Amino acid sequence: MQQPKLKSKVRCSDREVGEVTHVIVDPLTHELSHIVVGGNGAPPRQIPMAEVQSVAGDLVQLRSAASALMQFPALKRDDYVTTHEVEIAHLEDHLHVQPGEVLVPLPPLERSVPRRMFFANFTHAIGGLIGLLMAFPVLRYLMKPMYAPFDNGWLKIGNVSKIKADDVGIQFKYKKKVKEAFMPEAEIDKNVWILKASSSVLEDVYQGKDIEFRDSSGRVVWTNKKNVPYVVFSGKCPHLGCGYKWRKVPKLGKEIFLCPCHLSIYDPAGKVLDGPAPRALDTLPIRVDAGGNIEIIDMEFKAGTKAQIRIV
Amino acid sequence: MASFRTGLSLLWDACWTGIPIKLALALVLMMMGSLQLEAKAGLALLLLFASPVTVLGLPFAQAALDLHLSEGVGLGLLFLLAIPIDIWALGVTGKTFFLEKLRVEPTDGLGAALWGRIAGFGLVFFPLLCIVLAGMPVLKGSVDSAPEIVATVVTGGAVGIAKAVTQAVLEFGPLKALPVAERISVEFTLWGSAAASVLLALLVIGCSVVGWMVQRVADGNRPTGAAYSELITRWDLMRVPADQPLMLIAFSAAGAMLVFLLWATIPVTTPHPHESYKKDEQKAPPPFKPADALQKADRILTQAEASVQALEEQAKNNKKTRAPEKKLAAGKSKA
Amino acid sequence: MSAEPKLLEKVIAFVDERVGLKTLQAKMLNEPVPGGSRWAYVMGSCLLFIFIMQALTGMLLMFYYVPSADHAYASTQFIIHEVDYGWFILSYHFWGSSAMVVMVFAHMSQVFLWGAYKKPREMIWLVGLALFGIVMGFGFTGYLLPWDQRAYWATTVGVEIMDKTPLVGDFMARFLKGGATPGQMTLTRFFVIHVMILPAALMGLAGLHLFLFRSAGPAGPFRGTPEEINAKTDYFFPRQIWKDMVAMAAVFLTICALARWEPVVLLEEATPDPGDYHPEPEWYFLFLFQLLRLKVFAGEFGQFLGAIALPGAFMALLAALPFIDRSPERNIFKRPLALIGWIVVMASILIFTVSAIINREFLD
Repeated sequence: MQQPKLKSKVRCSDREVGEVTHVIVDPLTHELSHIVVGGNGAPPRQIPMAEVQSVAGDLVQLRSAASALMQFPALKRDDYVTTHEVEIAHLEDHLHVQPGEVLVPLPPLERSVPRRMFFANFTHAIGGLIGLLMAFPVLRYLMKPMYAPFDNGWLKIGNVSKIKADDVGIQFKYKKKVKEAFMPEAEIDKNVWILKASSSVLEDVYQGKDIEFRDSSGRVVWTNKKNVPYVVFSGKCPHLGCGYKWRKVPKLGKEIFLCPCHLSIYDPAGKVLDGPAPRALDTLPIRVDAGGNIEIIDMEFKAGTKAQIRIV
Repeated sequence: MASFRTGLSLLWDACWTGIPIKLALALVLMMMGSLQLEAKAGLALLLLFASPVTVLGLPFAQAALDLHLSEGVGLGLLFLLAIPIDIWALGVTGKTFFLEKLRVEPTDGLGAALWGRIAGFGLVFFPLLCIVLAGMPVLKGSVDSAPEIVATVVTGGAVGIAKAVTQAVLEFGPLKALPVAERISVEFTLWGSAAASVLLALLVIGCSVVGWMVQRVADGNRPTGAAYSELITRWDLMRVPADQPLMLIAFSAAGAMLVFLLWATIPVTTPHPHESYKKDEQKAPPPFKPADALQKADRILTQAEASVQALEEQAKNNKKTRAPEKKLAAGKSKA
Repeated sequence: MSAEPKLLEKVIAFVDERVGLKTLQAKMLNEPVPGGSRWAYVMGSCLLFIFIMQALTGMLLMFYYVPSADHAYASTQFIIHEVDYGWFILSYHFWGSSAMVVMVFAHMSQVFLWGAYKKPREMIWLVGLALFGIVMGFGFTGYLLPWDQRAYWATTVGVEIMDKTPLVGDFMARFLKGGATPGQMTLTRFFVIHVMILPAALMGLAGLHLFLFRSAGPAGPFRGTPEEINAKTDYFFPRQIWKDMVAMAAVFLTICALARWEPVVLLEEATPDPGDYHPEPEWYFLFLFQLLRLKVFAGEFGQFLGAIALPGAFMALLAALPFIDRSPERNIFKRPLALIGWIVVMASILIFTVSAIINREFLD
């Protein structure tokens, strides 16, 4: 059945009784629940939709006789608000109760579809080009500090006289000068662990091969020869970068490297005995001069990976 | 099932209704320093939330469990003040519940009637719940000689038993080799779910008893014949105060007082200063007084003049005394 | 008969004539809430309130805080020890961030349990998930700013975990760190993300979230006959706004109390060596932190699985939820899978969080 239109004439079974002055919508179902019929000086009455027999054009036909209309209640206007005074989303989507549509003319210039399309597309093109222009410089701008080259300078960190026994980890603390971006040159405290390795431990560390160290372009910067007894380990645990310690473990009866963060344990050769560490302790380039002074190149390697990837 | 839902629904509504006022009181007591809650603040707040049930049984539960929730009388005072609040809350929510869910007319004094029954029930139930869950640690000394199982049941309660059983289970073969992190989670899950089940069962029983008591009260009231929407409108409008300006002014005034109290009591600088942070004790330079400075300058000048004069006098006297001596000496040598 | 209109009424009429103020106000305030206003619906408004408070306290902190590695710690200590009530503003900001995470979980749980993600509310749910990610991002980036040991190391561990993502992990980690290792560049990047990018994103998406919510209308209760629902229906204003306001006041007072009695105390200034300090993220990341300690997630691939793949898969499941669960049934007691799923997820998060706390004693 068509929906009754506002201002339509309303007929009972016997005669015309007035016109549709209001329609009432149920806020939950969004369906018409009542029409309000008024006119001829009588108070407007609220008629449920069940009473509507048919709708044809602008005539609404009711089932009952005009006299029976008295049983329906008069409209209590104060119990209702218009749809402009309440926010019920999509309320009027399925209502077509207005007699006709209200139209507004399209300006003559806007009636050409090719014209609209051209300006729209050209606007998109200009906007896209602006974005495109910015994209590359912005990307470079953001990426500037991300892949800085390595500092391969030698640092004096101490003397071998500090090492009294074989296969015992000795911590050497030193200060490294760093210049980060615009910051004033700073000194950061770093540390490494150095072992005077016995031949068996040395064998474990080198596995028969000299260890090569490269810079960012892949060029070899230094080679640690496998017959040099001094081995230096980076002070950062390869699991997540914490500083680890040299500990005597009563249960095992020997001394090992232990990282307190996640309990990675390494033997004196740096091999992983237990814990989440993905690889052995990282060795660093070392050279010892005739006077016993130790020099190293301070390098850092990516934590948490099986492969050893240099990052500083 | 029905009495459980009744009990749960009523207690849930009443406890939430009462908690804002109870919390405001707690804050006032804390601001004044009468209430200090340290490690067990969460537990204390939970017990405060459920105060219709816990208030009367709390002293016994605390004694049995050897529980120290706070220092001083603050907490006791807070729970005492919670009583009229709970009676009011039970009144409001009780009337609502009676009208909407039970469809009976609420009588006057419903809040007090409900509170009396619930608090009385809590007097017995709450300490019992605590003892079943946590045992009676206060008896530790006297049961040390008893067999271990008895000692655990008496001093550890359901939680103690669950923990002991869990630890025993985790000693078996492959489970013993569980790494630390896995072991912690498995252990906590096992004893946690066991203890939680016991707690849940006790709470269901408690709510059912409360619901049964509430139903008994309701059965003594006459049913209402009103339509559903009328009932809803009644309890909704019940919440609108009869004298709105009075309510508004009283509330705003109380709130403003609290705000002023807070401004007065909140420390300007942190109450937990960092141990290695040193404030520079800069002495303010002494204020400059121009009149004094001029006077001082005058005095210095006059003093300087005086000493210069004195020196000149001395010099003249020296010349005079030495000149005649020189003449004498000269004269003597001539003669 | 009526008196001459007062000045205020004249002003209102002036504006109304030009912008349709009365209609606008009616449309904003007179939204019917089917089944009536409920305390269960306050959490979204509370989130908005907490965010506004965070923005305000954050702006105040920016009057004194300097995002430079050599001044971050000192300026934060200055706020705590020297600026009048600075300790309170900072502590409010700190506890407010925890409150935000709690409220986000509560709001998401309420929407999930009420089935308010189903048709026609799918887009609201998706935008909401994005907002959830932004809130977590806020917590992660803000944590670094005081530049003490806790801040520095929690961030380092967090970014290294992100590095585990295959293909783009290294790029993402370097982008966030501003280099190979955390330093000044990291601080400036985290600062701009925390203070400009995330707030702008949050405001935009929150606006969208509200617009979509208004378009769909409130879902209302999941049970009740139409008669019951109609009897209890009231408007957003004043009843729901009243409940929202009471809840906001309660949240405000709770955060104030926590700030007053548990103020922020920094550890020592960040150093490249963690020393005796055991890095730990903020409490709402602890469950993930503990998950990664399990042996099943050991090794590089394991860490990726536990830190990126599993949470990523879970978020993808949540995003797909409105499209997988097409049944119109919204009563949680008639959706056993949903109910059990929610209980399992919440219990798991609880268990792992508590486990992380217990695990602290085993770290030496």
